Amino acid sequence: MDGLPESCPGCGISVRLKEGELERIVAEYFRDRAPPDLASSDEAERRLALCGTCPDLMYGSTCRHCGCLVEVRARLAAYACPAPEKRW
Amino acid sequence: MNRIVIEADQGKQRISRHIYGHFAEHLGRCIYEGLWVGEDSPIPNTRGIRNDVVEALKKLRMPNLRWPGGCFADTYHWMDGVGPRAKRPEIVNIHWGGTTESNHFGTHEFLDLCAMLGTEPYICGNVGSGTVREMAEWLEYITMPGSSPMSRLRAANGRPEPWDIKYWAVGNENWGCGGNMAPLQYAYEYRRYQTYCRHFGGKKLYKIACGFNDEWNEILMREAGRFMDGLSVHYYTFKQDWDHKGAATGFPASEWYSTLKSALGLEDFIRRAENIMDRHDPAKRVGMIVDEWGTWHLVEPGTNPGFLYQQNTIRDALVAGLSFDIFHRHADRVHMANIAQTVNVLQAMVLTEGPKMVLTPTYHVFDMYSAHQDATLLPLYLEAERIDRGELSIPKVSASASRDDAGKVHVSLCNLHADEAAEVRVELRGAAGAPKGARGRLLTASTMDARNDFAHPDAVAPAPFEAKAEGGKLVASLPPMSVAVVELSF
Repeated sequence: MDGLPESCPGCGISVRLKEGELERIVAEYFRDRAPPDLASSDEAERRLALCGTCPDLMYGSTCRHCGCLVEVRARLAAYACPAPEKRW
Repeated sequence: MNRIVIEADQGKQRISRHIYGHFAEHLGRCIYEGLWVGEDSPIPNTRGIRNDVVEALKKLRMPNLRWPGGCFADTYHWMDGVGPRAKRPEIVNIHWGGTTESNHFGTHEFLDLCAMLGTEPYICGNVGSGTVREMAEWLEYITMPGSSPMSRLRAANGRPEPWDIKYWAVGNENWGCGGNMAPLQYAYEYRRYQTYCRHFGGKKLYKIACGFNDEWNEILMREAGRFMDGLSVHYYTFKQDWDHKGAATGFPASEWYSTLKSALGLEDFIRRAENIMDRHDPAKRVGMIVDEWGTWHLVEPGTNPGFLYQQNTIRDALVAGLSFDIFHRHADRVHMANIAQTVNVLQAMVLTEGPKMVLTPTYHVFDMYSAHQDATLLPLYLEAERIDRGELSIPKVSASASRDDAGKVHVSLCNLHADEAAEVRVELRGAAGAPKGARGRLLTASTMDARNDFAHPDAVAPAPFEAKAEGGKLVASLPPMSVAVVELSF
């Protein structure tokens, strides 16, 4: 408890992102990244469409298997779907 | 020059193996995905628990595992987590970001995991939103050997025979998320709850009360000290403080040192709590239970902020090593410590991504330091150079030593400097005579944020290490940013 707030360390933390939070995190993440790190727009959209129908997408934003925000992971060229049975 | 003198034939205090304890909470991907994937998962598992993680953790000789929280404990109703999984209620984990909680991992699954790991269960019961009856019945469900309502329910759920359990906590952080109680209020609640906490198989429970700050601990020890076996306290390491956490990777040198300084603050924190405990319990019967400790960084960029998933570097390895040295020095009072947390949350042992798993640098420190488990602490005097950076001043070297039951002497050494090697001369006093040398393992890296990731799982791994004898002393040359554990030969 040393250094922790005098209420609850979990309070104020949410797995459901507030309005604009996803956009802010994505913008921050990609601020200094450029091709070839990035997947092409078409490829990112293809991946995100698959993520959007995946039963392992949690809270509309997060992959169950890696905890990543799919809006980030799907846009990275070198990354693959982390599920045991890959969708992309 | 750094100088160590070890009294090799002295020492009375055992370093409890429980200082190397663990903590797994229903938070982020610690329990779900990290430990539990379910029986239908394509990830190799045994009764729903992933095999790769169990195999990795078994090598650490885990002495105990704390569950289900943490903050989650005081919102957890154990009855939700027993019986056919399909019928268990899906709830909202209010303490950790509103996560959906399936209750698929409950009492049976936890105790099955402990059996697979060969580790002792440590359960934290619900005070904040629970009842005395609920907690008493949970213990009856787990430990009752004869026929009773709870043992019949357990048998109906597929487990006729009871389990064994020793470590039991009455609430978690009841000053905050566990009920926002005042210290005297909790002291009286603790006295009431613990009255009905019993091992129905006739064994003694080790009952743990929730501690906090000086005022709280003073009142609790005064009013309830005689009813407890352990007092739980938590200590986290930050870059600066709770409101100013730093990145787990890509940090500047200033944050390397400020984080290590924060970790070294554990010793003053223990001393403060120790002073209060000593006043009320001079015989040191009640153990200090540091059942949450470790680094708390910003989450890994691009991951859900509510999952508390952070990378783990050679800096975290140093934090682990110097924290163990501190726990060893206070082994007469510190009976247990539990790293937060075992998988995928905060300072983890292993990280998982789908079917993949990597061992973190912290894992390797737990593995290397396991030589000290249940060994006798040896008196050690350390004269260390200082690292001075403006107002920050910390010792360059951390160390501790122990002798196991077979008579083997192990010495652990950490070099906290990010750029400079550290030469350490180790002198042994006592009947054992001068050492001929020392061999063991060394964990180091060439960059401050070196870590293992899924593309480079072995970037930071231990390597053989040797310290030579020179004029009756050992000379260990520690590279910058390193942790070593060696066994002495005579």
